[in-house]
Amino acid sequence: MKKAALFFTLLFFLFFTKTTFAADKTSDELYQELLQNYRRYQGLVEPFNTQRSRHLAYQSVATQADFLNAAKSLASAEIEAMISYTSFVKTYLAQATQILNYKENYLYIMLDDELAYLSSAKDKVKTLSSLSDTQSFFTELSGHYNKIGQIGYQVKSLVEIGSANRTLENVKIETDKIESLLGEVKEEDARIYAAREKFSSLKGELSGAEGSISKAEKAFKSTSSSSNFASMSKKVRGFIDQSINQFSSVISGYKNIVSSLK
Amino acid sequence: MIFLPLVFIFGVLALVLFFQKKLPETSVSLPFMNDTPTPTMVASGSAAAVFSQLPGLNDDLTAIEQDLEKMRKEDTRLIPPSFIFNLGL
Repeated sequence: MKKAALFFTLLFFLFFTKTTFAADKTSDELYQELLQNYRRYQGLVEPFNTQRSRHLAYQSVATQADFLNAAKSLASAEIEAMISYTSFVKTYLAQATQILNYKENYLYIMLDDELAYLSSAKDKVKTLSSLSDTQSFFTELSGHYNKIGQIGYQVKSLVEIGSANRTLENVKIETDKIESLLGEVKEEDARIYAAREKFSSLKGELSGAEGSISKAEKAFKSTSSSSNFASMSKKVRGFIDQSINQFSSVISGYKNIVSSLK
Repeated sequence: MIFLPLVFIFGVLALVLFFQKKLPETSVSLPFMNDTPTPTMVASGSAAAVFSQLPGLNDDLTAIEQDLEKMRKEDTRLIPPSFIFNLGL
């Protein structure tokens, strides 16, 4: 009796810790899961195309049944990969939120809604009994995946803008330090004049980097549900790349000032 | 007698859950950066004397350069993969 109680307690312990750890997967782990599920999906594309070609050629009951089964397998694999992608985006956003102090939670709510839909869609696939039902199901799935993809692009841009803003804060702190040091220098010679002039010009470049981040933020905020999120994300990335180049130039200039005056 | 192993197991479980909550996010591979130290007051004097009062300044600038290198690498993992949504009939 005691042994049985101990056995069940151990079983409970193992199960509980396993599920607890499974719930806390990192974004990197979820991305690996996505790669696996996406490869599985890709492996089913060729059989799906083959069955479609056979069905289009013969139009028989047997080929229709085979094509329906291939389409259902493909849909199941798609949903698994979509669940991995959605979970990956959600965890990535959570990690970014902790570090970048991003406070909005509507994206989490939307991702949770989509995960709930995908979970119910998994069961729905099993009940599909005709090609027309399957096509309607694919159309519905496509609408949901479009929303998920939009969130993926938004998270990408949010993280890029957040990282650039964080860098801006850090560079401003260094700017204040150098400004304060230059103000304390009592010597007056050509080297000091040159350093002050260079510093002033670098501050102008820093404003340029701030402007690039503002443009990225504007591009991000100007999106609506009908926007092309891929294009918005590309635009944001372009502005962020610009700011990175401007920051690099400012930092390398600051280093030059510091090494010249030390 | 059965309670001893039970107490031990639940104790271990409680510890695991406690430390699991406390563990920092070590797997974050995002291009985020740490805050640099805030400026401190310095005494006036020659350029060399003034600038030598903040020996960590160069390291802070190097740290920002490293963050910028991370940011240069675009994380394309968030770009949604494509799927088939048409039976093609």
